[in-house]
Amino acid sequence: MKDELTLAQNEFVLKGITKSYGSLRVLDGISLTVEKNRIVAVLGPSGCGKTTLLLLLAGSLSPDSGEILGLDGKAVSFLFQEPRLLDWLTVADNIAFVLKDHFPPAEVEAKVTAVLRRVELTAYRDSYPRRLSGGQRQRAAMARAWAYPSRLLLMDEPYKSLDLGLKLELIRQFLQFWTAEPRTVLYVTHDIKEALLLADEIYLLSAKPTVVRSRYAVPIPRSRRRLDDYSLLALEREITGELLQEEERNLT
Amino acid sequence: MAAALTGKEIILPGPAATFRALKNLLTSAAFWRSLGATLLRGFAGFGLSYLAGLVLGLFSGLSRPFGIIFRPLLVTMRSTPSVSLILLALIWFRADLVAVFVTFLVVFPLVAQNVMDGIRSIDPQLVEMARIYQVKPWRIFRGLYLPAIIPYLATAAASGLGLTWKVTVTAEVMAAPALGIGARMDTARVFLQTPEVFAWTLVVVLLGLLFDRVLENLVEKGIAWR
Repeated sequence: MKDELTLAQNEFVLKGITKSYGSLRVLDGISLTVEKNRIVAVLGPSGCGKTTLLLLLAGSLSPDSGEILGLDGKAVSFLFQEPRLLDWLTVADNIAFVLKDHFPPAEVEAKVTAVLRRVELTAYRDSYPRRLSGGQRQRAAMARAWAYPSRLLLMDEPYKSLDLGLKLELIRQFLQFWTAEPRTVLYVTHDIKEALLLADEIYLLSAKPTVVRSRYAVPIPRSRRRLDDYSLLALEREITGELLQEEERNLT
Repeated sequence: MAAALTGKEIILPGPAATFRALKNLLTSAAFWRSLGATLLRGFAGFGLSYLAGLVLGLFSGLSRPFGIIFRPLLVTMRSTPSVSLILLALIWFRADLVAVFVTFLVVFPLVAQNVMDGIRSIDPQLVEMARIYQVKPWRIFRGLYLPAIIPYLATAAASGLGLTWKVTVTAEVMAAPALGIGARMDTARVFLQTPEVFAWTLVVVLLGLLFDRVLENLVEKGIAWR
C-alpha cells in the first residue's frame, strides 16, 4: 500500500479535504490516492458525504481546505443516481448533447452509434426518454458517460433504484466498457457485494464528520471473483462489521 | 327566446337580428377597415409585450438580484385595474395608440411571469449534469433552458392573446379612435343598435377562437416530445 501523497502514476490525489455546509462539518480531512485505470469503490454510512466527495471531484463544489491534485479542468464523466436525461431530446441527441463541444458532427454521429450499439439501445436511438424503461434510461446515461471523452468516471450509486436482474445486467455492461477502454473509476455505493465484485480497492468512510476509516485491496483478479470465495467472504464480513460500527455512530 | 318574450331588439336582439346585423357589417368596407385597425393594434400591443416580457422574464429568471427587483413591479402591474391604465393612456396618448399601450401593460406582466416560472421549472439536476460535462453555456441555454420554457411561452401566448382582444376592444370603446371595433361598438350603443353590438361581439369572440386554434397548432408541433 502506497502512502505517499504524490501524483506520479496516480489519476488524482486528495490531501486533507474538508467541506462544511454552514456549521455542519461533512468532510473532515479526506486523503486518498486513486491510481490510473483502477476501479475504486467508496463505502460509507448514510449521509457521510459520499455525494459531496464526488461533486468536489467533478468540480461543481470547492473544498473549504485541502488539495485536489490531478483534476484541474480535466473532463469528467458522471453517472448519477438518476439518469438525468433531457426529456425533449432523443436518446441519440442526449448523448450528442455532451459531445458536440468536443467533436465535429460526423464524429459525434459515429460515437453515438457505436456507444448505443454497446448498450444495446440502437433500436431506441430516436426515442424520447419517457418511452424507455428505467433500466434503459440508466443504460442511455451510461452510454453518455462512456462516449464522453474523459479519463475519470465518477459513479454515484447509479444502480441503486434498480432490481437485482437489471443491476447485474448493467454491471456486466459497465465491465464490458471498462475492459474495452479502461478509465479510472470512483464508485460510491452502499452495496458491499457490488464493491467486492467490481473494485480493485475499497475505501471505507467514517460517519460525519467524515474521514477515511480504512482502505482495502481486493485480493483476487476481477475475472475470477466469486462472492462465495472464502477470502471475499472474510473481507465482506470485516467490512460489514466496520460499516455497522459507523452506522451506529451515525445514529448517536 | 327573451327577445320573443319582450319583442324588443333594443334590449336583447334574437339570433336572426344579430345575424342580419352581422351580414350588413360584413358587406361594408368600413367593417374590414375597422377590423384591420383593431387587429393591427392588438398585434402591435401583443407583439411588443411578448418581446419585452420574454427579455425581462429571462433576465429576472436567470439573475436573482434582477428578479428580486422586478417581481414586485410585476405584481403591481398585474393588480392595477385596466380601467385606470386606460384613463391614464387617454390623457397621455393619441386615441389611436391608447389600445396598444394598454394591451402592452396588461399582457407584458403575464408573459414575463410565465417566462420566470418556466425558468424556475428547470430541473437544477439537469443543469448540474450539463455543467459537470462541461457543456458550453450557450448550448446549455439552447438545449436545456429554451426547451424547458417553451411550454410556458405557449401558455403565455395563448392567454396573452386571448386577453389582447378583450383589452384592445375595451380601450377602443373608451378612446374612440377613428377606426376600430371598439369605436364602432360604442357608436352602435349610442344609436341603440343593439343587434350591431351583438354582431361586433360575435366578431371579437370568433377572432379569439381563430387565433387560439392557430396557436394551438403551432404549440403541438413545438412540444412533440411529450
